[in-house]
Amino acid sequence: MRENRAFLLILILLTGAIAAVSLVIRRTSDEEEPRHISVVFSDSSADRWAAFKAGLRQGAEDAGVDIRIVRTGRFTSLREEEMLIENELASGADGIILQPYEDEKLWGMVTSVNAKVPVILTDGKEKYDIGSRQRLSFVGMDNSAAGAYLGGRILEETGAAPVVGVITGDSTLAGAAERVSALEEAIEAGGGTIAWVAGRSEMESDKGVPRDSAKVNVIAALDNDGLEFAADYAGARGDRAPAVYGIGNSSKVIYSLDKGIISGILVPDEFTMGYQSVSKMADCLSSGRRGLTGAVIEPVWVTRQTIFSEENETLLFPSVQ
Amino acid sequence: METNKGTSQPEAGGRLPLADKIRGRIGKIRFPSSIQSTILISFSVVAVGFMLFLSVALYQRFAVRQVQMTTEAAGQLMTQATVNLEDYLVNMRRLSDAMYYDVIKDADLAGNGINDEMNLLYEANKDRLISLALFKRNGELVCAAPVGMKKQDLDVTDQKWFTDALGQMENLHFSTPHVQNIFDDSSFRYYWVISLSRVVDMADSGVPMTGVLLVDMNYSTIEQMMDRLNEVNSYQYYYLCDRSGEIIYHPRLMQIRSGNYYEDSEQAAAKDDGTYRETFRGEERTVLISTISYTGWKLVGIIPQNSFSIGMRNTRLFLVLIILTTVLALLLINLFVSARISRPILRLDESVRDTEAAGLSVGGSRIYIGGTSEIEHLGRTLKNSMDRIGELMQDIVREQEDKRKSELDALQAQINPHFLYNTLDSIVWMIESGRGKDAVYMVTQLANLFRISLSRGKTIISVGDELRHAEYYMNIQKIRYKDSFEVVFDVDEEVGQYATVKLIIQPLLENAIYYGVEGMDGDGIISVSAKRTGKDVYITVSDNGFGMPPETVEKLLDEKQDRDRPKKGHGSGVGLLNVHRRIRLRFGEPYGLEIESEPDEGTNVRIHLPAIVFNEENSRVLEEGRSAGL
Repeated sequence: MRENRAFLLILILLTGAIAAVSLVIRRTSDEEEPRHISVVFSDSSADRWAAFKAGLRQGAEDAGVDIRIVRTGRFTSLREEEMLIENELASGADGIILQPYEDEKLWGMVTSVNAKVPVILTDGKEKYDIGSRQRLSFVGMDNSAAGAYLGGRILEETGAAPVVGVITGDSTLAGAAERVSALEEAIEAGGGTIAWVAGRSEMESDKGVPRDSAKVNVIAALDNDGLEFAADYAGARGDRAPAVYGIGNSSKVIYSLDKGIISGILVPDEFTMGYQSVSKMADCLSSGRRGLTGAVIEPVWVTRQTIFSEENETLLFPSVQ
Repeated sequence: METNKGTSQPEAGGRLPLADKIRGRIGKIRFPSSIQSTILISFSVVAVGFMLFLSVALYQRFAVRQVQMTTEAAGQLMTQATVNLEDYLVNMRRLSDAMYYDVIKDADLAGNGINDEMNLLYEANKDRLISLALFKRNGELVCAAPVGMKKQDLDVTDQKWFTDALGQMENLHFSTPHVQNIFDDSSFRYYWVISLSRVVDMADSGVPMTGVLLVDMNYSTIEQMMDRLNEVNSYQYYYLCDRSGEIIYHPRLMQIRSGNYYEDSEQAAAKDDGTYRETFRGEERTVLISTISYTGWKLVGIIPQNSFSIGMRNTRLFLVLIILTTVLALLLINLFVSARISRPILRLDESVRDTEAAGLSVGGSRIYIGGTSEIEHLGRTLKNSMDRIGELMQDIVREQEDKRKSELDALQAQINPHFLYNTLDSIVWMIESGRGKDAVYMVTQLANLFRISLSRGKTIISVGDELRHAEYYMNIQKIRYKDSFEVVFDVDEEVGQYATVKLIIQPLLENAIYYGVEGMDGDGIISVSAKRTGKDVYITVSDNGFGMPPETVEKLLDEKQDRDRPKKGHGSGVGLLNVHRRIRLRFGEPYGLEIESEPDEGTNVRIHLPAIVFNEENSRVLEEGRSAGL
């Protein structure tokens, strides 16, 4: 009787073990279906995003996830970005990497999306209170620090109290305002003067912006579009052009730097930004309960003399032409 | 002092030796008691153990073989890639040779021949080339294809490809990948190139001079070749480095440059071709190294050790599943086999137990015969033996029964001769003395007496007949003793219907006459009473004769005393013990005689019988000696 009970127990244990192993095998097969991460950012086909996209793809390959870079034009409204995100969620996105549009109502949209899937923001760290949320984080450049660093560099390069005209670039994106205010504070603290501040609408109109350019000896452009705009302006002015500094990384910006039209650029390490965004999102998705972590990516200062240095080549020319 | 040699003595401090401990542990193990469990456990342990051993051995062999095959496959891939890379680099070298030996060496810079020839060569190879360019030793651009404008303020003499060429003028120099920084391209395009540079001898308006010929190879060609190589397996990867360990291609070059990934390329570059095992940053891996001719570049293949285990994970899980399923199947099969083997044995054992419980006299009729031929043979043999034992037992019982019956018959037969002799003697005396009437009476009583005595050979008669037999006997005795004593019968009519062994009162009356009232000269009284009390019948024979002391009474029913007691001439020779034994033989131990006697007071002898109604059925049962069920 005792032996029969023991034998029955062994049979039950064996059957249980077989069921457990079968379950593990089935789950392993299920896990082979990769997670999908959607990336939404403005004007995604622009040349300046080459490094960011390379980082996204490499990160996705290393983490074993599917990455979908949503094809977009330049954002013109919050609703446009909302629709793109809704489409991605409907398509089965497991996580969203998002460059947020500048709008007071955006935070509501982000928290709504975040209730469904983890979200990583690549801009607007200072604007939005991410706090210690488990499934929402920030991976990108610190805009305030970047604005302050650029201001400091301008003061250092010009050597005297500069008169600075500021081109804010695309102010519809979150974080633009922080760059401007930090730059202004740094210039003024260093004895310089902000002569004027021009936004995207003024750039696109024919109001003669930069206005009163003759009064400034430095133009500071705070995004890639603004910096291209400033490079065009300075190129046209020839020797009479003010020194141009800014934040950007497109081929045109680099070419202008190479030609000496732009004096120095602060380059966001967008490869690392893209790579880290995907890696952290994939880590969160695979671990299940683990929270989403963030990272602040440091930009790199590049001048004409250091474009072709070994350290900067990969950053500035991430893809083979 | 005697020493116990069979067991080890405890060591000092009370510690038992290891052998004793092991023996003790083994002794505590409870081994299975049933044959099925023994077979099942033995089979299962052997089968599962053998299967596990085989599985582990095969898995180990399989794992080793897979590592070998993976490494061999990677080696073959690398060999092919090395050939392709060498082929490409040889072509580039031939291109440089063609440009130098066929064009530059024989031409004069003053003419236009170099430009045309350079353009022709570029057009023929532009899929793999970014540009061809010839510089003077001071860095001045002589010509280039495709035609391009050199950047203003650019001094190529401090670029590495230029200094390398002039540093070792007899060699061709392959650079590491870099972004070309020579020509101004207003379309903002920058190219990753690998520069092949060499010092060339040339002439300008007849004046010999040296310069540097630059062939900028399109890095994407090598990148595509390496990308294809890395597409083969997602876990292992291949990279290219130069002889100093500087990376030319790596699938994670960007991560390495941004500090998110690390590679031990300097160590790899320092090693000869071959396969190595190493641990890098805590990760075990296999490293394959192959050198590219002409350049000293190293093609390095990396197979992380965990890539084998990742590939093997599902295999291991399936193996575990198969082992578990097989163990389960083995146990069930063993259960079936052990049951099949043990069931006949268990049934045989059960039938033997049944037979034991029923008694050996039933023989082997219940013994199981079946199962395998051996068990069937065993069962048959056992059945035959049991049958034989049963027969022998029945023979013994029959013999005992016959013996007891013979003994009873012999006891009853002891009554007749003495009494008959005396009675016949009295009848003769009566006839001789002319007392014919008395003689007739005597003969009549004797005939009645013998009719009951014979009872057609029956041993069991009714108490009524037995009492009548006693009356006939006493009528004869009274005549013989000339009415010298008185006889009184006090009988409940009810008791006449019960059964008794015949001829049990007459011996008591005979004793009462011979040892009680004979010689009392008319004062002797013998009384016979019979009554039923509960389930028992009591018949008492009393006399007022001389009586007996207690010690004599005690010896009367003692078998041993009876054997030792010398036989006397009085009576029929049938004593009290005779009657006592006959009653007990027929009705059992609780029954028989009870004697009370006082010297000079008389004697009471009481017959104790069960109240069994005398009928045909009970009579038959009692005749067969079976009174237990009544």
